Amino acid sequence: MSALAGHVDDGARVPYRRWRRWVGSLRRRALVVRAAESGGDPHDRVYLGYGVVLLALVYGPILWSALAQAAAALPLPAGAEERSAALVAGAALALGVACLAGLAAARAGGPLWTSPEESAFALSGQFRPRDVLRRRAVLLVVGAGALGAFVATAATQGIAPEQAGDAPAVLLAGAVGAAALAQVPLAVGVAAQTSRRRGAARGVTALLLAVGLLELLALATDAGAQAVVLACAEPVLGGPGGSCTLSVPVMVGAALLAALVGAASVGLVVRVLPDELDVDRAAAGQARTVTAGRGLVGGESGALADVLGPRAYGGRRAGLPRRLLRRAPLVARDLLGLRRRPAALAASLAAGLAGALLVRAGAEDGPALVTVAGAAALYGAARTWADGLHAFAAQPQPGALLPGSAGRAVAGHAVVPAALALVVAGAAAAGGAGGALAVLLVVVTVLAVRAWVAGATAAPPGLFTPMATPNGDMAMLVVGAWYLRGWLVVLAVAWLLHRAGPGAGPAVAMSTLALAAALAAAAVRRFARA
Amino acid sequence: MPPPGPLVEVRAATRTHGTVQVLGPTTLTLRPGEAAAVVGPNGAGKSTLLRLVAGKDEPTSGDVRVLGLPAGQARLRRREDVAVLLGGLSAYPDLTVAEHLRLVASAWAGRHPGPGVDAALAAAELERVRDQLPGELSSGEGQMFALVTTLYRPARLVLLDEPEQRLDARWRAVARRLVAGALDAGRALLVATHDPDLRADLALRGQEVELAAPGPR
Repeated sequence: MSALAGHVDDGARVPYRRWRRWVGSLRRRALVVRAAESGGDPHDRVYLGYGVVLLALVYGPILWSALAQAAAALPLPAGAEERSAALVAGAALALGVACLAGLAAARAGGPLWTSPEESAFALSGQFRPRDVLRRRAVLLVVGAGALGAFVATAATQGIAPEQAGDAPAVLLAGAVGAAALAQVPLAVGVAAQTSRRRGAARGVTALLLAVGLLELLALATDAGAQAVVLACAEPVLGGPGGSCTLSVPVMVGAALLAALVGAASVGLVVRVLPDELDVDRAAAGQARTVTAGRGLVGGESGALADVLGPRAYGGRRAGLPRRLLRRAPLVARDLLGLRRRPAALAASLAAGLAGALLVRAGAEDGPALVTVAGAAALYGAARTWADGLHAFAAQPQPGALLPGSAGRAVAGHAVVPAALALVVAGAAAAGGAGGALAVLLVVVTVLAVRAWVAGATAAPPGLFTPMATPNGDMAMLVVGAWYLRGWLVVLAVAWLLHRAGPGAGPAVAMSTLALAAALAAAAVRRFARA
Repeated sequence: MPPPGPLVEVRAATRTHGTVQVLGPTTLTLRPGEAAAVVGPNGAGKSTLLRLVAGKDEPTSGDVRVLGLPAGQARLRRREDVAVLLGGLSAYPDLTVAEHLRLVASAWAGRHPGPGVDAALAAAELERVRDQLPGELSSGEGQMFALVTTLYRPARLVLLDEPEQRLDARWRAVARRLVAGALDAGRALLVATHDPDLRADLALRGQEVELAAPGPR
């Protein structure tokens, strides 16, 4: 795109900002005319902005407190060095997850956004992409910094309330450092919007995730935190009475490193990457996201799958395994499908194993948050394992090409996810029976909920019936809960299992299995009716 | 020996959405090996009639029976006997064209009469795209893939909604050959179409069901 833009004489270019002001004035005028015609208020947008600020002021502090409480519930080791290592691992992991979100945003047309008109003008060389994108890049940088500071201050307050309360400078330092580091996921997301740096963006994400996971693994296996720890957060976050284990030069070095990383990321986002951005792809992704958003508002949950664009399938040389194809065609199909998405399969197995380990750790006298987080990781991982079932559910007439009942087809598609889930659960439970039952029950619930969610891709029309409450119409809240029903059920079951504790035994197990059976049966009934 | 019972019996079936009648009173009987071309202008109710026969919708009045059962029940109990191409193919996005046919042949095992995958692809002139995924096909290739895959699965009754959509003249001729092949194999076909050649072919092997143009709304 930059090559195209280079063919245009600078003198022939249109000043972008003047054009933008002109478009803005046209829009304002049209808004006023429309409002006058419909008898509406032309200042609707002002009220909208007022409402957003009001909501942020009301719910921002609540969210901050919730984050602080969640951070306070984190199971951190007692020793100063182990605690520091855990914090660094957690920070690396959080950055890695944020980078993953950045990569996903790049497929959905973000974080830098363009309109189709701007994209067309930029591609024809009328505007320099950097002129279109620079102000948006600056806005994103400020937003990412604010978000990073928001989360970091809440985490600091939760993890080390004494330190944060006694020394606001500690809180401020944490906020500045987090604001700098928050630029990394943003830079990764924008880099993934360029064809040239997409691989590097994925590499940075993988590196951060690997460092975080390896460090957590080293901590979990007592392999010695010092071997992996590269920095120490203890001076900033403090321990339960622990003292600083790093010298001042190291602290200064860490701060400098954070500042350098942040500055480099900001430079990339504001100055370098806008010129390399594939604006056409970004505009297409954004259009897909808008369409999917409209679909979601209309109750079509399948629309969400279109946000990330068409999937890339590898492994094209692999074929359907002949022997298995004769005996269990749907199992053969699902295995081939997974072979064609090796990266997603590997990531889902890692996430599933981590989730199962967390569920086990939570069940063995750990906090409820750990069990719930583990169940969430398992549920997320199971989406990839159940790809065949979801593809089956998305068909206009599920199973129209195959013999047998809908139940038989669902059972055929359930074999691969069940096998993978059992492998993961077995690996997590190896070495001790403690917590194994909880892992098994969560896995069974996750599989049943996956089938239940796959069985319905459109929200029931009844959910859109206005629901009058003192706070206004809550119908969209109910619709939102319907979209999240799978997550909500899995998290609720995990939390209840944790609350019941290991002593509850057979009654809890039977209840959970009965719920799973009911969900699976509901899924089969829906498939049969489809 | 008495003639075989009808596969499809539609008696004075109508369908109304709100105040709009989308299908006027329609009667139709289809026996094994017979074809029926459902024709009429846009909005006449061709797809609606196919949906009623497929059991995906209920008639407002009249009766629709398939394989001796009410159409809604036949959809649940006799789904193995009815192949439907209505609103897109039930395909998997991660299987190639050839792998879909192979999956169908294996899933039906001893009940699949053939031909083999290669022969079916050759008949549909789809060899060139045999290793492509459904999402990688052009719209015409996708339509031909949907048609050949629907006809590839065993069924006594086949319902096709405008199989000629998005096909050029050459491929329309191929589609007509495939439909004729299905009739030769003893299947009953109910086909909604705008293609005059396909309409004529089907009329030769059975009947034409001409639906009236929609009235003013």
